[in-house]
Amino acid sequence: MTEPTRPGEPVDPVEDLLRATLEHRAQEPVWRASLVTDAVRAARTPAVRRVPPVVAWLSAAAAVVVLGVGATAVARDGGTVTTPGGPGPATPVPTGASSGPSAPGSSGPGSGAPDVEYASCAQARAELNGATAEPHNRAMTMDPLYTGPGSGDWVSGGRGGTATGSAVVTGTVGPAGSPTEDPAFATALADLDLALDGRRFAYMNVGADLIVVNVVRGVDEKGARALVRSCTPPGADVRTQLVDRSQTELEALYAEVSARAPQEFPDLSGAWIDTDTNRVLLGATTTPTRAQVRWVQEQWGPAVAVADLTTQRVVVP
Amino acid sequence: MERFEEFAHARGPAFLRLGYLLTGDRHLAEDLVQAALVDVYRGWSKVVASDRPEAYARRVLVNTWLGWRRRASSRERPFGPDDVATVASSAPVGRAGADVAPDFAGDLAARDAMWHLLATLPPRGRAVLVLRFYEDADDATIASVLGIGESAVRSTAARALLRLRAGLAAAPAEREALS
Repeated sequence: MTEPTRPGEPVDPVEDLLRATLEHRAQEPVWRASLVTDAVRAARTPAVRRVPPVVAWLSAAAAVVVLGVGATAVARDGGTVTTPGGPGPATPVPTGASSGPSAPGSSGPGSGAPDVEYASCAQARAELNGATAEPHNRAMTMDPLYTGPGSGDWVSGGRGGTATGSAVVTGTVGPAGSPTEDPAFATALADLDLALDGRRFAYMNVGADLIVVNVVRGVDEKGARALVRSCTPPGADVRTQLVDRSQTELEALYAEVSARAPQEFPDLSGAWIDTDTNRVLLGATTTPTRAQVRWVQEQWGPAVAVADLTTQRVVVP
Repeated sequence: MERFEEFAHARGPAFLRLGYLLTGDRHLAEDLVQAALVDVYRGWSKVVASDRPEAYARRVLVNTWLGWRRRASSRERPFGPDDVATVASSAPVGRAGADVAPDFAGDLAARDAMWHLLATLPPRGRAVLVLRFYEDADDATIASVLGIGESAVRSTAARALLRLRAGLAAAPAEREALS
């Protein structure tokens, strides 16, 4: 019987192929953060037990008997009883206490506090940011950090920002006739940018006529979503998604990675902020070793990834 | 104490990749990761107390999948040896230039054949190979994850590799790529 190759022994071609196949295939699945929130929600929801048909029938019969006895008693006391339909299986009635609490930060049905709505963008901005309406006078500038996929994005300058990050709206230069050419749209978009400033960051994909507002996880997510709804430019398709790192954090991370990574990566091309995936990417001009990738993982976790520039793919640990 | 959400977001992608290599199906891998995370969440206080939440979660994930496979409702439809041979013989393009340049098409075909052969392995054999050759886990770790002895890990791995060798030997294109 063939024993697998042990460390230090010559590489077996079949094992080598197996390793390459697994490494290659492992690149395929795409992580969705909603897998965690959905799992938490499922774990907190009381399990629904499947009731055998015989038990269900007996329960229904018992309910009919109880209803009949109760109606008789009420009629004897002179009361009025109305019965919806004839006798039959009992219908479950929601009690209002059957569903468990949902995941923190989630929105939608069953999330606890009601959704917030604001009459106007200015009101939302005032309540959420404590900000007053200001004229938007920032010029669009090229993001010097972003050279990755979709490079050529344009970034509006922030006003400083706070611990949770500054507002940044980016977007690829749209085709002729795109909404960006409409001054009203641009003004409304600038208002949205201003409203988010200092709290969260956002970027838009004009090519797909879609604005994605990235809300930093842990902030007032419902408030942020309400603000986005109130400040959305007319006719724009705006969606929100949760991210782990603010623009400020990404920029700090970028500086740290740029300073420390060259000692581990002699063939480093550079680093850049990938706003699409909310992380910093390290570009290697040669295929990185597993040890290098693991070093990155140990240093910064999922906030930093290594891009193999020879294959144009992000290497996963 | 590390929060469950932080742990799940940090290690979730790695679990998803492992789940995909075990199941061979992206959607099934997502279901698997979610089911495993639900279990981990329910026992989170114990998981954190064990000081090795990642090892615990990996064990839950692998064993959840093995549990699914033991049921008759498994959704995976493995390829047979004939399918592998078909894939292998139809894929090599540009093989004539293999002596002067890397044969990417041949590599692709070989990896494809290997992937389909993996799907034909018994669940435990596949799990052992994935843990050993992807996760770089040693025999003791694999034994701990699967709840079996180290000798069982070695024999399972050897049998699984033997099946892979036999399957590849049956496909001429892959035999050529490996030589």
